[in-house]
Amino acid sequence: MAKNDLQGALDLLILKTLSQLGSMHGYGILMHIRRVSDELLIVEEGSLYPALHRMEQNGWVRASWAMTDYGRKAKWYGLTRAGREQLASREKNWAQVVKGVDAVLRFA
Amino acid sequence: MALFRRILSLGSRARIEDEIDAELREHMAMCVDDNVAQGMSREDAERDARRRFGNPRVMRERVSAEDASLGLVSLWQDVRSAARVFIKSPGFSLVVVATLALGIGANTAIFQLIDAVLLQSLPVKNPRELVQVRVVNSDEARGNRTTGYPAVTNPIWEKLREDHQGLSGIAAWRDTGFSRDSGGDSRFVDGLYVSGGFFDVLGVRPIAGRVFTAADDQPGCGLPGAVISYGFWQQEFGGRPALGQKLKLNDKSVEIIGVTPANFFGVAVGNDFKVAVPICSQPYLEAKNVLNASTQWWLSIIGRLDHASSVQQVAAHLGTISSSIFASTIRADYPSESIKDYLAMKLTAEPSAAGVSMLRTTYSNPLRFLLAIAGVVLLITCANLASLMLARTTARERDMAVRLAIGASRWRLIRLVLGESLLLSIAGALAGAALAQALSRGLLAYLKISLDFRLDWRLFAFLLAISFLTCLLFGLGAALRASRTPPGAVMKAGSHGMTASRGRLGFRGVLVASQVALSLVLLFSALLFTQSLRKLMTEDPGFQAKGVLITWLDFARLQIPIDRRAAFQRELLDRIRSTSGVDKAANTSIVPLGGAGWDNAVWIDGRDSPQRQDSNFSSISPDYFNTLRIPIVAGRDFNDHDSSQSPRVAIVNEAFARKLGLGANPIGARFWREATPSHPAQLNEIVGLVGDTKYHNLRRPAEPIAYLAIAQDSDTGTDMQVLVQSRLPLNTEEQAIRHTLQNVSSAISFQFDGLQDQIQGSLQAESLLATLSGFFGALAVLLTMTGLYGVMSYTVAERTTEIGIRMALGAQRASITALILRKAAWVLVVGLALGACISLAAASAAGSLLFGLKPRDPATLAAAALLLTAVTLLASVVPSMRAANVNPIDSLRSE
Repeated sequence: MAKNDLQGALDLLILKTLSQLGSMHGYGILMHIRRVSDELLIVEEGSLYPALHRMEQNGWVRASWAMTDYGRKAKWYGLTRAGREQLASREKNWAQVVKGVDAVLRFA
Repeated sequence: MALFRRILSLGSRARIEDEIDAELREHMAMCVDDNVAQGMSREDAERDARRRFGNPRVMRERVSAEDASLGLVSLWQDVRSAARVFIKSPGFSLVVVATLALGIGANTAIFQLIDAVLLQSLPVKNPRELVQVRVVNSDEARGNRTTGYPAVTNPIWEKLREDHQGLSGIAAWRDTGFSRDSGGDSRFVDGLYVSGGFFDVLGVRPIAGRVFTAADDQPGCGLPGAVISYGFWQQEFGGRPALGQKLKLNDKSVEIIGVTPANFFGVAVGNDFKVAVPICSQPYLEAKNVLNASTQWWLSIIGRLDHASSVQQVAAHLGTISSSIFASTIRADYPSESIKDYLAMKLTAEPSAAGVSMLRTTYSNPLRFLLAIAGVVLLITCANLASLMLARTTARERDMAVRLAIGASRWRLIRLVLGESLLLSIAGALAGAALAQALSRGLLAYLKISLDFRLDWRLFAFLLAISFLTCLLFGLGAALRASRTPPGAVMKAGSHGMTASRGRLGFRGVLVASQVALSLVLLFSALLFTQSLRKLMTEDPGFQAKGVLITWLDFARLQIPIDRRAAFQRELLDRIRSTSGVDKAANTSIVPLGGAGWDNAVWIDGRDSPQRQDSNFSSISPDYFNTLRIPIVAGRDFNDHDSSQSPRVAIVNEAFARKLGLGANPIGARFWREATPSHPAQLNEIVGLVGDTKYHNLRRPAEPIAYLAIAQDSDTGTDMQVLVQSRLPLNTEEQAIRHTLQNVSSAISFQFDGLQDQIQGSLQAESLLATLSGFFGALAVLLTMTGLYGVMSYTVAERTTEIGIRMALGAQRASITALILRKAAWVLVVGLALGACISLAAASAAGSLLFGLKPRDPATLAAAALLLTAVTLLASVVPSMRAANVNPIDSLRSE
């Protein structure tokens, strides 16, 4: 079984969000996940930012300061090539986990 | 560019934290904005945002921890935390830093010396263009050669000055000593005779005044001025304006016309010049004019290539013009039977970028050998460092495993080791650099030479890199292993490291064994050189040097006419003889083993002159043999009846009699000495036979010597060298003789030297080699001892439990000690065997540097092995005793 704890899931969510939205600031990522998941998944700031910064250190995302539509200065994150590769492998991995967990649940 | 930003903000952690704060603040603001947009009041919106956000400080800490974990900023933190670790274990850090300091310091010092002596170019313009002109077959030259450098006569130099095709400029120089004071204990300054173009050819510009030009160097110039060195200027004038000031040289007054730059030391590496005067001043400053002599080989020639020519072309040109130069420079003073040899001589040119150097010829081989030795010491240092780092990281495997278990990344651990290695190697390298400077200064003082010494940054960087890599490489080993092993396994394995390595010395054993091997090589060579030096020191020169004082004196100022000088010399010698404490005293033209020499061709009367042999000569007064305790085998000593009116007599040594086939009793035989500049060929009758003594060099076997009576010399000079045998201490004797001489006349200059000291001074290269190789040998043994001690202590610590169990089961202390010592013995045996092979293979390289013993001396090798065995066993006794004192109960409880 590959490494797939909750932290892994959060990374996957962030990476996927960034791949869908192109580039986004932390608050935007948070809102996007919340909206798209119909408020089922509420990522906490306390997990989001450490994750973002860790991913930046790992070179999966690249950050820069830019203005938001509402005229606020925010730190925007965008996927790098390594980030895209990471996303692909995490997605594949996630699919397997889902399949595995599903199989266990369906066991009768 | 996150990385770039981070590099920029290296060290300013505050900036990064500010940035995180800003990001989080903006997040809050957006959250509040959204809430307000959804219809909340501002207070409610803010309260809700804060509730969702949690404690901002905790949040910032968490974010910044993520940031710090890989940023360059944190490397500095790692170094700081490494420093904390080292402060907690000062013993380990001290040993590592000391090891590094010694290895790096010793290497740097030796390399700096070698660089200065062998590699450094002259501090002049484009030194690569400089060439030196010399006579190829200079052994054929007759006459006086008073310099150790390749030399020509002034007539030859003047010809070269006219025709120097391929050279843009050519110059002549000669180092000499000028007396500064007029009487009493004389002070000499290192002087140079230089041709007019000397400074121009070297491209040395004065920092004040001017240097000589061709116009200053004209026949009959008198003393047109003096150019002084920067060092002399500082020393004599304290940097105050010196131009136009007067100096006294050999009792003549001369005006200072220029000062050379600080980095210019002359042409000869190691000899700092103080005052330069033109060559044409020689007849004015010295009693004897040598400008027209074709038997005075005293000028060294240096030239600068023009842009179109190579050294080979210049050498070829000199080869072709040699015969015409020699044909046109021969003077009537040249011994007629040697003219054929003179005409056959050839001139050549060779590169001279690094200056000409006596130091180079004397020290080049010893220094190369020392460099090799220092390199081996560096290897040992690295091996020691490696085993220290290995021991440390192995011991820390558990610590690392715990860090891994609580979530540190592998990279984090690796960086921790990186920080430690960096800190250690920088500390070691700095200490090494400081040590190197001290060692260099010590070396210079020991060699009594002046050289420009600066810390070589390239070398320093190289050594720093080596030590860093060693620390890192061997530090990383364990970090990687720990990070690859599941933390649980390590922690389960107990507090004494991994089960797998228990009981084996492993890689550290290999390291220590190679240290032992290399140490043996160093000890062996140190013993070889020390023995060689001892043999030289105790080598019987054939005379008794102990208690003999050399008094150099000069009475030129008294202006005694040449025909009365011999009488004055005799009177002076008698005064010295009657000084209290003086047992015997004699006058001689050559102080044995003092570096000076005089040789002429000789042949037995009645035989053909082509059967000539070479012999050394010395002019001596009566009592010379008594003074030096040289046995008179047959015949008699010189006496007062041997005078300029009586038939010429000579005393020869046994080697002379052998070489000329005179048999056991040569008394009464007569030999010819070839014509010299001042005399026609002379017939001498042998009146005495004395024991063999060494003449030039202790290393050479005794050579033939013919002693002539100084009273029969017709061109007596104004200087004397008096050898004084005294029963008083030399210092007391000096005082007494000083008193005597000052009573005769205050215008006599004099200087003292112990004969024994002078001989020992001639063994400087040998004693340098012996001292330094001894130092390095001791260093190597010390390093090996610490290495072995470390390895053994580690083994004992690792096996404490096992030993405890053995003891609980009834093992005797002695057997426990033996158990541990056996390990050390293995390492030792393997190391010694390897070392002996290397020693024997490398020994032949030392052959030419040794005196009186074979390079593969088995006794010396055995002694080195024995010594090494003793000290290494000593190093392993303490850990094995500790093993024997293990308390079984304690050791088991701790498990």
